Amino acid sequence: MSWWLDITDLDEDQKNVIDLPPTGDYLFLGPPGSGKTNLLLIRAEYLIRTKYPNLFVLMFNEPLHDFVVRGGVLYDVPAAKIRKMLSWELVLLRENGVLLKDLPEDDLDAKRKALAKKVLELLDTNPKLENHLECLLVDEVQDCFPEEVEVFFRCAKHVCFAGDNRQRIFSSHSVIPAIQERVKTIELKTHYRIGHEICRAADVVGEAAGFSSILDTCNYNDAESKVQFSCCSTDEEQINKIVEALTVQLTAYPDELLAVVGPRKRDRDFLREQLEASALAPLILPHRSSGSDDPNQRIYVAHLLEIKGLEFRTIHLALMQHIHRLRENQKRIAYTAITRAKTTVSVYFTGKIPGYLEQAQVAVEPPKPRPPLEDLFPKKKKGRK
Amino acid sequence: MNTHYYARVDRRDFGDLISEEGVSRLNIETVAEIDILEAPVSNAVIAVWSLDPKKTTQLPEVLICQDGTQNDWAAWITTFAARIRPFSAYMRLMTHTDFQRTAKRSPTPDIGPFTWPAAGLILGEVLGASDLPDKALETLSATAFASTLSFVMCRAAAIYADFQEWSHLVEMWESVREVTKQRTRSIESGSIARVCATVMDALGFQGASKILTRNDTEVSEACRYLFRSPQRTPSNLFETKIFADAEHMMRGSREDRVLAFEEFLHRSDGISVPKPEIMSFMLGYLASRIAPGTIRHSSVLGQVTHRYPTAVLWYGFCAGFAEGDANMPNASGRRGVDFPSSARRMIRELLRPELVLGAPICDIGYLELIALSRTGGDPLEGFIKTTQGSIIVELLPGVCTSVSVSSKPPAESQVRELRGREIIERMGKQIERLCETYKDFLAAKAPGSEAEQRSLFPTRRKKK
Repeated sequence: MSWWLDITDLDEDQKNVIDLPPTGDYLFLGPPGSGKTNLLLIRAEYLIRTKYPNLFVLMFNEPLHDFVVRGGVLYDVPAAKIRKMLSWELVLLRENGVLLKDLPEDDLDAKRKALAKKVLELLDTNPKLENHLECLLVDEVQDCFPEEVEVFFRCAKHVCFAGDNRQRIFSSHSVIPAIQERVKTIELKTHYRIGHEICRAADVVGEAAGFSSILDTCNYNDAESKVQFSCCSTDEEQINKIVEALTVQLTAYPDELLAVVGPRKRDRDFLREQLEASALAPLILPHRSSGSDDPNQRIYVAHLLEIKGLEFRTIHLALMQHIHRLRENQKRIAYTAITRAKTTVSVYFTGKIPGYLEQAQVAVEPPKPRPPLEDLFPKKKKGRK
Repeated sequence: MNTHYYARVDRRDFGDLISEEGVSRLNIETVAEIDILEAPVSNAVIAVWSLDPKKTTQLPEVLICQDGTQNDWAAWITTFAARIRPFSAYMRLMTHTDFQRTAKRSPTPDIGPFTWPAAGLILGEVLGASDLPDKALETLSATAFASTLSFVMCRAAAIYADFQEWSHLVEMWESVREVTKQRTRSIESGSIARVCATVMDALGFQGASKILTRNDTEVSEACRYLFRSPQRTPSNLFETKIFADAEHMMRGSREDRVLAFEEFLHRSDGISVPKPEIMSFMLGYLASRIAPGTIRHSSVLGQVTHRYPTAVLWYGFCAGFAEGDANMPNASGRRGVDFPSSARRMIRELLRPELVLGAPICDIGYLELIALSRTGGDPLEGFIKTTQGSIIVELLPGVCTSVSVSSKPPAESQVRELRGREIIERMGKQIERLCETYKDFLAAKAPGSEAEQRSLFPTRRKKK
């Protein structure tokens, strides 16, 4: 993450956040790369220092938790205070003697809802647990269920959420409007992480999903960004191209995370298998780890739902011919994936990609010369053949 | 106008400077302009204080000696005023000419727009001389930077606007490293000196050209160009076709720039290079264009380090010039220099104001170190250090270098050797005392009674 180290890095919107009193309920809304997670961590640090240390910062999943804990050392937020949402709930239930036998382990959504329900029941039976924390700070709140949000409100005296509806990838229903009715919303308008070309591509995908532009609010000021699409004849060709590009990127972006991502779990497994058979094998991060103590391990291989909240210098979106299998959430997922990159996005596919991605390709590639009018007629085409 | 206190002190009265009652015996006078002090005669120094020594009981801050007598004085004070050894940690010994020059200089060091390129040059030397990765720069101590030759030369340039004795400064730096038995570095000091001298020459410092060869002329010209137009590529480099091609490609994404650099490396590998100096500069310049204003890509020079060891210094130097808008069409603003945070700390040291009439911050001065080294053994043994594990040596007033010293306890064999030395020393003193007694004894006797003298040593006579 492009961690901030001091106040000179903040813009006016962000300064509005650090100006907030230690008490109160807040929601930070902003586009990808606007610094929501950073602000959440800065606020946690501030609260700890202003005699409100009984708090937790909740992350959505393991890779994001890992990522934040590693970057969080730049702030004085103890790692023990940064928790995964589910594990925090599980610990709370176990601490209070609630049995956890009948959780639906195969269905994550069902498991999350069941856990939240159990916590709410616990709060009903043990009212002393209401508001037992000073504050809960929750990242990626747009993907929470209403039950989970209720848990947060009831467990802590104050809540602080960060989220962006555009990056909602797990649920088709948004909890953001309901949260906004209960807390003060602080909107972050500009963003810094994502290069201009990437914004251009993201905007095309976002437009198809009804999102507003992020190119207009882009304050990126780093290496020139690019988005490239590669239509390959085979999946193996995609791998070869990725390996070739990664070899250069490892030199071009020392010490930074690079990602190779496929749409589904099986795509991720295929990519990992192929990359581990290449010369880049020693540089690949362990499964579901977004960081490592070995500084050489910098390539994160994942599927599209595992990159939530993370950021990479470059991202290789491979096997994208399969993205349509993510059905109704696919545009938001594609949008979120593209906006994970700071500088380079490479999209690889064998065969066809959905129209919204084709449109993004048109937006970022140099305009092709217009074909002669007669070429459009079938007769002429036949003659050519 | 400040009042300064001074006194002429002969060798025989030097002890008065050190003791409280001795100071009261000195004929202390005051002066407003210290640079008008006259040169002392050879067997005397002028001691200068910023505060009245009769009230403060402090040691003088400066000892001014006659020109050409500084080495002798350093040896003399070290020997006869061992009580305050190292004396140069408390007071500066300067020739009259050096004192006058130092007194006239501005108290605030300044290198203007050269600050970031100088910082880059020093970072480059640290990387190249110690074979460190870029990331190591984040956590390096200020003393590590102060140990470099480029730091010393840049500090001299910052303090003395008219500095000319570059060769002498390089010799001093090398001597300090030699007498303190420092580890040999990956880049020869002569090569580093030439890189720094090229930069100093481009900045207009007289005397730097004495270190240079004819091959350095083009590099000096390129540096001059960069100082004039920091956002543009030095025009004389375009005379080399492979450079012109690579420079043309050094735009756009960082990946494209890496590829352009690799192409340059590949093409330069196949050609004969009559002037390695300019090739070294080109490599450093192009590497710095991968991510201008940063030092994160020195690894791309790894494969040519053996042929062009100074390329990494040029890389750091050129990285100190941020990129212009022309090369970053999509960026909303120009990127500045983004060096590791340790660079700011180093710059603080580089530009730290230094009072002539103030106690030095070093552990020992150059002249005293050299004087001590002449007697053999470890010249730094038993010294109080500012920082554990290193010693700061002042080469010129305000220009220091640091050298590392072992903080490990001496090994058993060393301890034995030390004990042996102590015993011999004690025996020697007893023999000296015996000799004195014997002389007194002889003086008391009538001269010429050799037989009687011999009788004092019956065993020896027997042996004979």
